[in-house]
Amino acid sequence: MSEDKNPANFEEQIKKLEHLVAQLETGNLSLEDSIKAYEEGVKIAQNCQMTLKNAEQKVEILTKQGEELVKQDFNSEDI
Amino acid sequence: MFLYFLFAYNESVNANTKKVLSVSELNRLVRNVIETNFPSVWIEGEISNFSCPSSGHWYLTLKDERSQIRCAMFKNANHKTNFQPKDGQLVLINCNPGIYEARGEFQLVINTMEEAGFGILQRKFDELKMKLSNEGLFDVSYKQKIPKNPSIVGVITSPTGAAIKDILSVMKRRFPLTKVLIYPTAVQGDGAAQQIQQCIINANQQRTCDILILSRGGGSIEDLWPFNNELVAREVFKSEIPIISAVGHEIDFTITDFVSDFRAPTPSAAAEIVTNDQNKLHCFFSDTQVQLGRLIKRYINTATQLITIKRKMLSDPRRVLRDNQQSLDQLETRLKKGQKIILREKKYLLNFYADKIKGNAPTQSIQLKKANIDTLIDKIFKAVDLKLMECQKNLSNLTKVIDAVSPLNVLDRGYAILQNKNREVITSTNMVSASEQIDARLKDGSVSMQVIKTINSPESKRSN
Repeated sequence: MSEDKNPANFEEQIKKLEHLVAQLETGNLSLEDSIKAYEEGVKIAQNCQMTLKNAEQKVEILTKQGEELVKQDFNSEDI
Repeated sequence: MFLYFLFAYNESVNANTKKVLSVSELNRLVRNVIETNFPSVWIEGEISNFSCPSSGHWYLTLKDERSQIRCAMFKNANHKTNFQPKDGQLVLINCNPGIYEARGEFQLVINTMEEAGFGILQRKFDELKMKLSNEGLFDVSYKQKIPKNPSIVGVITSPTGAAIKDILSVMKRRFPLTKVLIYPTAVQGDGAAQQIQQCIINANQQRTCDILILSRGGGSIEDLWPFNNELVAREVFKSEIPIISAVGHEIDFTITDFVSDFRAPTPSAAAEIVTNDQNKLHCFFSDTQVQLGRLIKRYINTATQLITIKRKMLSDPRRVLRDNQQSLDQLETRLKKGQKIILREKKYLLNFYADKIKGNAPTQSIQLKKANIDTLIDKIFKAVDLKLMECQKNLSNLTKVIDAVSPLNVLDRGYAILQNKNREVITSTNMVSASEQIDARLKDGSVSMQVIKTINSPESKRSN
């Protein structure tokens, strides 16, 4: 599930979902394949929704420590 | 300069013990003192009582919070001013202080006038915009595409400003999965431009972000000034990471707005541009699930219909069995019946042919043929005997003829046949040569001879 938190991956999941729907829409699948496509589609949709629901915003800030730039967590409540 | 004034006054006092100046004299004196001692000066102030009589000269009062001063700007100077002064406007003037002798008023004669504060900056802004535009930095062909759903968004702004707050809250609401990396910088005042420039350089070196938002909240033109800096503008142009410029309010335009890949009217708008709408996505996922359900139902319905049809096509096997049993019985009956008929028919045929064979027994005809054969044999024998006799007769006749013509008969009468070694018959003198061995064949044997010489008869010579 951790890789799902990547928005690019999220986009891929959406594409996959759209592909599954398109495949089902052609009506050319066997009953077995159509059920597989349906199950996979529902799983992806639910996973994505869960990911969104549980997502927490991750904000970092670059700070200078000596000569190095270091990433630190940034709490937007502090503003 | 005060000393100078005293000196001038004292000079005139010394001439007469009690020197009295006329008003105009004093005014001229003071005017000379002021005008010769003050170089032209720059003054900033607010315009009031602006008037522009038909003469074309401008008259106005310049003031600040505590005091004011009369000013005149003559036609030859004011026609170079590129704006129409208004009361309340803040202006920067270059002028020479003096005295209007007629009224004894201290006044300024304005040489040039420009809009103060905003005005100066506006002009610098316009000049830089023109310069960069001419260099092609704003060309659409250089604009990079804004990634649709970036993983990491870099924000170059003040970590304590309103802009970052707006951006984070919009991004959190719309799509919390997108990570944010803040490049903290001052966004106004001295050194801000250099810091902003350095942030863009750092972001491009690190290559962590898919897109950069260059942002600050609203403010005066002076506040926004770092975003009109030429070095910042050139760094934005150079950036290989796409940059969205979101500076100030919707009505504020900065140079970074023109040179960036995309201008967002506000920081919030920039945050919206780089994120998907979570609510829309939720709707999308819900709708898709409904659609998936509808589609799979369609598949199942089709399959169910197909099964119903196939089931109808499959009848009860017992019925098939019964049907088959019945037809088997029928066939058996027909077979038995058929067998009897065939048997009867065959029997009849058999009898029929048997009778026919009995009636036509060939004994008699055999005897008849036998008699015929005997007669024929007799005939053959007789014919053969006759033919034999005929042949014998012919043979004896032929023998007689042969005997008559045989040379051997001539030998009986004393003739001889000459033959050479090769047993060829010698018929001419030309066929032999002297001393050649030849044979003469006689009736009862042969004589071996040698040729002495050949003599041709005269007849043969003639014939030759």
